[in-house]
Amino acid sequence: MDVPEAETKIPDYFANTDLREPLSVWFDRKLKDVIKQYLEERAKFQNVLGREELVALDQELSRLLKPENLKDAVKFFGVIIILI
Amino acid sequence: MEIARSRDGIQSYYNTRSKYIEEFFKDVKKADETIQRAVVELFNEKFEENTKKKEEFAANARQTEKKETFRSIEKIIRDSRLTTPLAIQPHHVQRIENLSHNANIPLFFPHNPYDSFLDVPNPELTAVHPYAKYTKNVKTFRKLGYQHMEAFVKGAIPNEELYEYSLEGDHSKDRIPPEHNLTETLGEWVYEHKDEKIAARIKDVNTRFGEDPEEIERKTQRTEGILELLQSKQSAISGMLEAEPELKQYVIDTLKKGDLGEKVSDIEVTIQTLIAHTPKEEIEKAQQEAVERSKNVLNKTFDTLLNTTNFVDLQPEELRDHKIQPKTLAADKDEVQPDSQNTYERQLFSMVRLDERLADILKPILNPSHSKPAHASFADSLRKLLSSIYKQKVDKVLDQEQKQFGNIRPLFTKDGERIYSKGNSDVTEGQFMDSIDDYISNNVLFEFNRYVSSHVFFAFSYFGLLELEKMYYTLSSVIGSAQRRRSEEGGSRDLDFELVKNLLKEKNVKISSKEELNAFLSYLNDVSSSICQLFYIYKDQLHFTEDLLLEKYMKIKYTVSRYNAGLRNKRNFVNAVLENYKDQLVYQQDINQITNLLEGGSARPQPNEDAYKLAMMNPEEITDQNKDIYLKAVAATQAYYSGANKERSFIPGSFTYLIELEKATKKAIYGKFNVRDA
Repeated sequence: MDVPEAETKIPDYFANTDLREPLSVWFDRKLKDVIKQYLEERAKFQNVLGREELVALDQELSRLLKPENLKDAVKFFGVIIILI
Repeated sequence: MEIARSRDGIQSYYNTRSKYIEEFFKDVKKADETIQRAVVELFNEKFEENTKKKEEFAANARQTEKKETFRSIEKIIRDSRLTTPLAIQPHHVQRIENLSHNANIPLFFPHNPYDSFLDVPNPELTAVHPYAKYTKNVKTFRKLGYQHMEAFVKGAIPNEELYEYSLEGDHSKDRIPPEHNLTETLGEWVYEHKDEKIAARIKDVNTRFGEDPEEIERKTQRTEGILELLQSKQSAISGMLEAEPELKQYVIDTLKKGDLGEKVSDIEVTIQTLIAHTPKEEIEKAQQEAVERSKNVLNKTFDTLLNTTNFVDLQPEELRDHKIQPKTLAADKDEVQPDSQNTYERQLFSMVRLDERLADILKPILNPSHSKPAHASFADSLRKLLSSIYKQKVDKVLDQEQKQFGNIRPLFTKDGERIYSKGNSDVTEGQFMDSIDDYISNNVLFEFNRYVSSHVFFAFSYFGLLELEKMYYTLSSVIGSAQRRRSEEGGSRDLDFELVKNLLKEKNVKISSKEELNAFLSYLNDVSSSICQLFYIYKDQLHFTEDLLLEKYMKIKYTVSRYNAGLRNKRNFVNAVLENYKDQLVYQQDINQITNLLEGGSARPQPNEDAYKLAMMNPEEITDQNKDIYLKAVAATQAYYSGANKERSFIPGSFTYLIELEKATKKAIYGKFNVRDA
């Protein structure tokens, strides 16, 4: 019995949508990814910026790391990849 | 799998997740804590990552540090154990800094005297570019500014206009050379003219004495060919010819005239028959015959010489009893020390003492060793003359040095200071440096002095002869005027010694007794002998221009004075003394040979061929061609005759003038100059 290839192949987004993964684990990973991205962005600029500029950047970062601001970031992080 | 892939599955998945997120962020406090914890965890992760990196760096650094340390240890071991140690201490550094300009001094001297000792280019020998004088004083300025750069890049400004030259110092008023790059031009020029310079140098050496180099070459080839032939014929002949330079010249001259082979065989026969196979008795017999035969000739041709041999007998009895001889009067007591203030004189003395022959010759001048005022003042004047000539030359050479290098090299130690070993506390090193100082003072200075000596002693011989001439005319005029006064007074022909003494005192010649006057005259003989020796030693070793000029000048003076000799019957004193000394050398050689031959013994010396020719020759056979040989032989036999029979050393012919003077003195004092006449 021939099965079409498209039906047997595991899609690319499967890892991101694994239903068997516990929610808490998934959420922790997601949250860390978001924060890591912010910190990497900061690391990119920290050698280039001046002291006052860096202070301003850190203020912006602390604002982004507040729960109300982080909620949307976590919700939509990676979704774009899936949609695209 | 089906659920995951289906749209509903994804929808439900998304819904459950978003619900969880909404619920999570509802509890703000819990969310804050979670976020904080996540941040801390991330920070720790990053921190660990960084420390890991640093550890890796540290490990690598430790490796490289180890490598470098071991390498330095290896270098220390290699330098200290396997090669010569070089410990540089502060005083070393100071000394090296002081001596750094002497790094290129060569510690050797050229064999050829025409090579420059000081590496100073001799303008007579080396070709010099006319612009070479500008190299020291030229200054270059870059003419281009920023405003010209565009034009220069486009090629609008030619290279010639890039620099501007200006001259300073001695050449400040000269025109600037038109070459755009002076140093390059000179460099190329020197390279191109290298061979020309060497050729000019060689040519100069050959033509120095006014001869054509090609002719010299032809001459030498010819004489060498003849000599080779002679040597191939018989080695005994060549040995004899080498021993007798004049005979060699004679053989060469005769060989030039006729067939070579016949002449060579002639010489063989002559030598074999006359020298090898002639028994001693026959030689003596022939000798005596020759002496008797030549007596008449001697009386005619060597009047002056005969008079001189008689002269010693002319001494009065009181003097003859004392047996005053020049040698005992001039004997050494203590060596005269040089003036300690005068460094030049000190160096001159040290130089002379190093050379035994020179010390022997200069003994009557540098070490007169008697307290007689006349001797001492005359010796002093000569000594001052010698040291002043030496000083002038050394100063000139050092001035050249200073112009070339801008300093005085310590090879010529200033005031005899020991430079290398000075301030050396280390024992072994001090000894080593001492040895360098010794080397310099013993060898380098000696070599330098030898280089300068040809000038010093040749110039001294000329000016010393002038001094002697002055003294000769002083004495003769004194005696002449004393005689005249005596005759005017109408007294006897005996001359008053007191009068002569007073007249000499006016001329600053202090003589207190007759013996002293006698001794002074013999001292003058010694001095003239030593000065003549110096002249003949250094005559052919001149390499300074001024000396060559002086020699030429003397030659001209000699020829001119020979023309004048007939007119005034008064030859030039200097030339006469030199000529007579040369004759005396020849006579002395002949006498020695004949006496050695007659004394016989196992070591039989080379005999004089001329004596044998004389013995075999009849006076009727004398022609123009062999006249010179005959006369020479006559002189030799006469010398032997006079010397051997009287048991006295032969009085040199070079002092004819002084002896004449002495005769005149005797005549003036005692009224007669020949005892036999009385």
